[in-house]
Amino acid sequence: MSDASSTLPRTSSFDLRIRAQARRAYDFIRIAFESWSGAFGMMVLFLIVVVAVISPWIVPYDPIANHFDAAGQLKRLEPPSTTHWLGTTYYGLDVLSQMIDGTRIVLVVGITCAFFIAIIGTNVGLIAGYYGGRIDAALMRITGLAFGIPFIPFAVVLVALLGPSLWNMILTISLLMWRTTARVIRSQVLSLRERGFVKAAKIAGASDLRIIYVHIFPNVLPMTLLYVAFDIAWAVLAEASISFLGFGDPNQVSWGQMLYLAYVSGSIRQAWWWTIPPGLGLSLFVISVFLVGRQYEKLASPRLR
Amino acid sequence: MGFLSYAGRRAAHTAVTLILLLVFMFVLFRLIPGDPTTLLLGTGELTLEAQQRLRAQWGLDQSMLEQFVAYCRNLLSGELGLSFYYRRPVTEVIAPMLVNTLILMVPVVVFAIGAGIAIGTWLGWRRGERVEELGAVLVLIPRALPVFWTGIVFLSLFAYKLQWFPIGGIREAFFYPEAWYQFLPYYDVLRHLVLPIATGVLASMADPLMIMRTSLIEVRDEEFMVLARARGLTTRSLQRLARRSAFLPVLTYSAIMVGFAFGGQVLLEVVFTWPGMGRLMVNSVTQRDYPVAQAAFFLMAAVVVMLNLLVDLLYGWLDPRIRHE
Amino acid sequence: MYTSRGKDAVVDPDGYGEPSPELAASRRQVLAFLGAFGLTAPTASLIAAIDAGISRASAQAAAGQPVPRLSVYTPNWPDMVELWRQLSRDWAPLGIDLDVQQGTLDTFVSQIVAEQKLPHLGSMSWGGAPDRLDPDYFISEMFHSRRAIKGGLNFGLYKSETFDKAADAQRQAMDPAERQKLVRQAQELMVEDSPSLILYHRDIIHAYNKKRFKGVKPILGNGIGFPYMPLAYMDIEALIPRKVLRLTSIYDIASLNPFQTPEIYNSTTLRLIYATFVTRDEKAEVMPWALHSWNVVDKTTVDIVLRPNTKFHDGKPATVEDVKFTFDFILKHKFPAMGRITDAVESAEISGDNTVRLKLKQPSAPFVANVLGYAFLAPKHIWENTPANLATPADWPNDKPVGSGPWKLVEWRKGEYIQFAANKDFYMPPKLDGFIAAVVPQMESMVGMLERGDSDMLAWNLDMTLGARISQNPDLEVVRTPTHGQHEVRLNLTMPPCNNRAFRHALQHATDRKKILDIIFSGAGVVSRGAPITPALEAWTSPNIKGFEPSIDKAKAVLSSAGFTWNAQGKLVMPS
Repeated sequence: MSDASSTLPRTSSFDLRIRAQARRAYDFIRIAFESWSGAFGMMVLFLIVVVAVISPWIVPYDPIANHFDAAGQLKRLEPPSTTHWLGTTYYGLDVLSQMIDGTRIVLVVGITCAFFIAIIGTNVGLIAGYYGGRIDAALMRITGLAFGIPFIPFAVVLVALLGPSLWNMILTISLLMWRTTARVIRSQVLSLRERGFVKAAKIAGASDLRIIYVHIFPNVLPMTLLYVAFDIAWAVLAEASISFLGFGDPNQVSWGQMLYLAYVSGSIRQAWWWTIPPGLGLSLFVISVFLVGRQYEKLASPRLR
Repeated sequence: MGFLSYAGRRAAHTAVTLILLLVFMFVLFRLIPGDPTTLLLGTGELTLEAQQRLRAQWGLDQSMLEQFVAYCRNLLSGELGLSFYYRRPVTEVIAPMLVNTLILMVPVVVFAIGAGIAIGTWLGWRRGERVEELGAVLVLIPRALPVFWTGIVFLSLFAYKLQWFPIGGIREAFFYPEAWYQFLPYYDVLRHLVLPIATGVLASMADPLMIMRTSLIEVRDEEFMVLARARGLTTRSLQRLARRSAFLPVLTYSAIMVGFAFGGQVLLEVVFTWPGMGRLMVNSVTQRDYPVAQAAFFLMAAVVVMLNLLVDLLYGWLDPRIRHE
Repeated sequence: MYTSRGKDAVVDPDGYGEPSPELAASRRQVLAFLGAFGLTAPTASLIAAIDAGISRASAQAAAGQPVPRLSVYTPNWPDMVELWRQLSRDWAPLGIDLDVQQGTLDTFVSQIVAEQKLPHLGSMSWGGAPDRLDPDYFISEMFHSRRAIKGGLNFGLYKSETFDKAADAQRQAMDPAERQKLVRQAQELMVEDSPSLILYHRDIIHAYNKKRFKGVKPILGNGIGFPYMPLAYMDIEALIPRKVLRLTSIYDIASLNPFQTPEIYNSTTLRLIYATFVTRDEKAEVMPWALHSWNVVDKTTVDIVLRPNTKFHDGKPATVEDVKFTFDFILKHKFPAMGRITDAVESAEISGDNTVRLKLKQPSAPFVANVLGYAFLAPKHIWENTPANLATPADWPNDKPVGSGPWKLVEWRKGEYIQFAANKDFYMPPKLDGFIAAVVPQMESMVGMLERGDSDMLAWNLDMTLGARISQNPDLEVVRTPTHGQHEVRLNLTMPPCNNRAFRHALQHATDRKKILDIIFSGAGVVSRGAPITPALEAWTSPNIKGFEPSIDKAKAVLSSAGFTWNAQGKLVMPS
């Protein structure tokens, strides 16, 4: 790889590497399809991601535009029709467009939160588990603290402090939810620390950071990824919960926000076309994550196979 | 290391966590803009001069450090102070709400863990059978439903449509017993409890269940189980033996679960109009009622932290290896 | 066209206006603290966004330059969110862009009212509290320059000497005819200056079970179910054996001590137990309540005559001693909640058999309605014996309140309900035996309880569409009552271009109030002509205020005649 003189062999080795990567990716995805439930989950997730990505092109209407009928009357709480497949909301907004727009929030919240949670949780777990002693004690005190704080009331405090916006919500969720990941990773590291390869690396004079991130981290990676998957689900549920209580970002059309508006307008039982889609969407997404996660859980702890 | 010194160390750690928590809460609440007098100002019901007087009366004109010192001094003498909003001792404000919360959450946690252990054992024992595969998927469904949504669906179905249960609240403000069974003590409260408990149990059952199942699968193939099987124990006794050994992870989890139950119950309380701690916490934050908010948050946190300590100690007592970790 | 979304929403809504250094510093500390948890990237961007927000909002629009994006701060209620979606769309043709930020009501009040940090625009709604029936509230409290201080309701910083003069004059005019003229004049001045876009007066819509109860009394600003006007519950009669009405409300009270809380819902609920000296009838006219009569002797002297044979709930007779005691007690302890009494009353002396002479600190036209309508008769034998170890008698829990009003307290369960029994000794005995106000914080549950028959009255603002659905039930009746409360968009008159009167007039024209009212509240309400007092109060409504014709063309014409132009992108440009 050091010389760039001949292009042909490099292209072919590059090609080979791509193929190897592709095979690994294929193997990885195939695991999800090993059971019908995993396959179902994977399909739903795929669908939601696709919808979220192409949402700007497929929304029938602007999700916050009011719709009026031919006589100029607001189409308030109209049941599903050919022009509005999922009916309209209280202010005459198109439910289908809101549903489609909401997929973006699901992805943004899920992925961003899971990313932050994984970073905080994994690092806290790695450092606490590896160094032990005082550092461990201090970090575990903080983790204990995070476990002690009730989530939704804390979210309300942060909204009052920082204002209701999507990013503040992501911040709130990330700030509390890392606690579980940190604990799990720490206990993994505790046992890995005593294993031969770590001791060997120490004798070879590797630095602590190198041991943590080069030797130990790859071994906890499957567990981290598994928790990332579950955190995506939790984060989306958490966002929906905060929004449902009215502390969400009013400028975002999230599924939780839709349920909140339906609830405060007092029409949640009548306008089923407004209530059922976001509730079903949330449930389907979360259960799909669980189902797919379950498949990889088997990978992470082979006894479950 | 002896158990006592281990216990002492854990208790000290817990105390440090609690103190950290106290400081954290105190600072956090006072960073929120506005104080308990501002909301009244906004509606023009309080003149500015009167507001200044009120702030002085309530000690809000002092610096944060002075307030913190005063707060700690009160705390040491066992006083939680007066609620700004209710102008009553904080304990008087919290106590009834705490009782209401316990009435709802204790059954939820107990039933959820009970059902989790029972179904988890059953599923784990049937490892590899088709019914297990299906069951494991089925139990994930209620966990995936947002609690408030399940609650709303239950209410729509059982309260509005079938009218079996009341729409919300903890008791009827004006209850006239008509049939004989309605005279039974607690009939009214029990009637109000059914739907929120069902919703809560459904939502929180899955975690202990999955943990129990995993743990049981691991225990099933351990040597002592093989031995026990070789000794020809009945399936029932075998199951009991396995359950007893697999129970520990669920126990650990239950401490965490209490915390989640307290944190997540706000949604249950809102949907079912239940006057409990969750709503009190949310309201005390929006009303800037710091004494109540601090006490309530601290109480919730202390319960979780203490339960964790209890579980740790139990572990240390059962398994001496842990004490040296 | 969109209100701010996604990445724009990072800006801390609290960061507008003049940043108080300690607040900004404390914010930064929080963020640094959060950063310690490992979230350095988002927190750093947050800090940057806050600073950017501050500098952007305080950037002054220079002459000949495009008008900056206008910052808006509003409570995060769904109707307010929808309002700004409408206004963003309606005002876009003028070449104006809005940046809308929302906050919870508590944050809104602490930032906008207490800290005076209104960005360019802000929206708010004012309920129909009884003291707001007197024109003084919506004129002096909200627009007098005296109230353009931190904590004052003139948070748009409107300052006009001519208006101030008119506002002061109406406050001191004890002659009704003269006052009417002055009130109308003050409103004309205010509409001309347009420091605020008054939008509409949303109707109060309540519902009740007509198969079970009759005799409900719709009162302006109160509907049939709010406790603001005690007369509302007096004539309700049961058609079923249970003579106790069950109503649902979102609010709960916080205290049983009437000297403690100034909050409207709480204080009016307690005044069902403690009769105020005067109250308002269905036509919003002031009528005696605990009093037999009153007499304005001169500009600063009022004689009040106690109603004979008045008894407290514990059976002890109420005397003129109790009346004097009430005022002395309030003046002595200077209860913050009783500010308007301590501000108005100099002294109270017994001057006859049943008469107390009140000396006022200054002439005040709203005195009888707002001070005697807020002060209540307190029993001397109870309040002079409150425990001495309290910092103030306002902290006394007063768990068994004893008043002289039409209702006696039976039980208060915090967060659940408050129950009253009729005081049949009251001079106008209630026809019910009692009523229960249950606390139900969700509209969804309130509607369900009414429809199922668990409650008899829904005493919270319904929407007309929901009301139409409820009234399909043959047992239920929906009652729609006008109110003097209002919704408004306040402009910060120190921020260009909002300091330009033509710009404000253009916004008046660009705002289609009727359309917005139709969309947000199903048209249930009275569209404002720009004056803060509802046209339903005819006496105070000036016929000279014609309102602003909703027309974008008019708005554009107003702008161009004031020297505004538009650039190539169609954005509004300040006059040079």
